[in-house]
Amino acid sequence: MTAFASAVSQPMHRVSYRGGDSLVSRAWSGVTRMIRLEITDDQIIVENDAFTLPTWVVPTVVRLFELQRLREDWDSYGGVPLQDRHRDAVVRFLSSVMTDDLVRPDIVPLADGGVQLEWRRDGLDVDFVSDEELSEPTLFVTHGDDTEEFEGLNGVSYFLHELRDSLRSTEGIPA
Amino acid sequence: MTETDGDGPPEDDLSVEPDCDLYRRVPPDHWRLVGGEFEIREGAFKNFPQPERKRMSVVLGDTLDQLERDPNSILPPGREDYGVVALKAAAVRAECQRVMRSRTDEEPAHGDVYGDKPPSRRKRLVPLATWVVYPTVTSQ
Repeated sequence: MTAFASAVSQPMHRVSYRGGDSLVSRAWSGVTRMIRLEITDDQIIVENDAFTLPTWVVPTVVRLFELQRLREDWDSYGGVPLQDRHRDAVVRFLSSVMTDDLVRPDIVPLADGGVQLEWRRDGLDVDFVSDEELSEPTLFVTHGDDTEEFEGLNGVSYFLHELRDSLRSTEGIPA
Repeated sequence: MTETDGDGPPEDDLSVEPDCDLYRRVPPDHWRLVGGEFEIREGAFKNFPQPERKRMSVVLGDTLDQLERDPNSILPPGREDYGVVALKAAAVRAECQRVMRSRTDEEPAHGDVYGDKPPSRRKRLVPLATWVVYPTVTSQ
């Protein structure tokens, strides 16, 4: 199976590939093709094509879609809608980290077309930021006044289990 | 003080007193309700969309007072879901920021807070801000 085929059939799984970011866009195209979204002012209709997605995927895709449709000046300070490369960074990050027993983050738009994922637990803030100021997407883990920064996915992979433990939901986990 | 983008950082305008309130609008995407309390998200303190400008718009409380205007007056018409928070000039200066007066035709009390605001700094600004106008919650 080629990387592209793998991305389309299993868009939320990591796949080996060459050629940089293009695969993420392809994977995203795969997701949006399999999830049909109809968003109007008062309803969101989601249809999957006989494909069971992790539960975090659809609300995440819907939210990212909404942020891409933000109007110009959405924050009254000249804010621009979510940009593709920041959307792709979020998809790449969540695809590597999320499992269905983890709390979903708040997905917050940033004025420059970037995006911030926010988890707030007791005494712990976890933020993933992709924006126009950072040289690359960065994870920030804050305990009290101490903040650790991890650039890119490679940095995150070294403590993935610890990160997941921190973000695991305390509700609804099977015994 | 004149605009100095591209010519180096502007000087800190010390005519803006340390206890001067710097008002900042907070759009609905940048606040959340937790246990009935409004919380500001760090995104509320991001610089202009053009990162090279390194400036965040504010409204200067001293000028607003001179104009006998209320902080409510800086809200966009019909946007009750926006809030207004205040930062003290001294507090942003302690975070390596410079305060400028930058009057515009639309907002004579306009000012800018100049300086890098990486995520860690934006996070530190959050607890320094106080709500002046709470958003109106229509549905949460």
